[in-house]
Amino acid sequence: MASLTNQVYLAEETITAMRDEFLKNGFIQLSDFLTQSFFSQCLASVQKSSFTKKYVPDRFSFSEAKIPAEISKLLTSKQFADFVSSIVGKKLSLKNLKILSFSHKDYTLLHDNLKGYSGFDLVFDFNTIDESCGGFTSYVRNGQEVVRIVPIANALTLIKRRKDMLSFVKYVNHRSEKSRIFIHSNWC
Amino acid sequence: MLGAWIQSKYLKQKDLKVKYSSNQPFPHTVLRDFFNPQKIEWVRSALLKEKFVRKESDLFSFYQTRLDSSSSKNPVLKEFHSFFSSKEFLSFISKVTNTRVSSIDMSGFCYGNADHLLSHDDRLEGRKIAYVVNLTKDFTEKDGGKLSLFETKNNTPTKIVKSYLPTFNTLFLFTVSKKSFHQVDEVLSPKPRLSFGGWFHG
Repeated sequence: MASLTNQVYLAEETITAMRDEFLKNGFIQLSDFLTQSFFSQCLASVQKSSFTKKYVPDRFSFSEAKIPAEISKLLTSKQFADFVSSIVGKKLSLKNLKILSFSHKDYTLLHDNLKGYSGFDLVFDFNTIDESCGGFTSYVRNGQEVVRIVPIANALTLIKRRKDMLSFVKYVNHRSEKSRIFIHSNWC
Repeated sequence: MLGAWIQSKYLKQKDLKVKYSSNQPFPHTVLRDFFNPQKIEWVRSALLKEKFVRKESDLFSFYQTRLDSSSSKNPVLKEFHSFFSSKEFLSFISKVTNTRVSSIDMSGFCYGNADHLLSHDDRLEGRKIAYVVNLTKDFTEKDGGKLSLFETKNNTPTKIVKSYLPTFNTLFLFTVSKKSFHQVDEVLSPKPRLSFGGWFHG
């Protein structure tokens, strides 16, 4: 892991500061997370991936792909699990690891059958998208947005989930020149 | 009162009823060139002067201004609201849609560039008939902003089967049901997409 990620995040004092920030805010976004060369390699693999469209108009519209081997290897490594656990204070055991792509006209909607969970989300973005283009992830509680994750290329974001918290990806509008492509996973 | 607001061609209600119920994918109709041209111009001008509030959620992005009998000080909008909630007009809507309606709610909407309203069925207690009064001018295909209707399978929307450009001075009506999935396509230009919309309640 040390050769693939930004060294800054591995220093003991940085980990302490990240843990404090996560405890205080319930989320943390770590920009420039991978080394530039490894990020470029991952991005190239993702762009070659075969995406499958998922469309139920009153629920969601996006595409999904399997996670490329080199990224999966990093995210499922013991070192990565230890790193994330040291920030959030809970052992990492990733579920539902997948790559999602939201292009123009894609979205997810909140609905009655959507269930919240107590745990954590992990998001890793491949493109930077301006907020005005949509495509951000909004976390809501009691109908109010509590956290908004705006995609930044090569940023790892960790979010604490509560059972009464739901999330959606805002409709990507025609201003966006890029798709929002990101890894999403969660654990309880 | 009806004759003052509605074009005379729409006072032959029997024909309209036939066109309404049989329209697919769910009962709806578009009444073109519906209101008295002068009155609807005044309504549009008055709406443009109202205060709109930005509304954003997972489902939509647009500007809205609620209108009830006391909220607007503008006499044109007060008269428009009174006409919409008048016994004569409610009776007209009941005959067109073959559904008994007895009250309304009404909001003004303005969709700006990239604004949208995604797929939903409008169901909420009391809502019988949904309506849209289009006050948009000069929208063409490339401007987006169409009202699109979905086909459903087991009451789940599957695909868009009909789309209507928002044409000035049209009244759009549809029956709210488990099948009435629709959306306002994203507006793709800086032209404002203006309308009044709401529901006739049972």
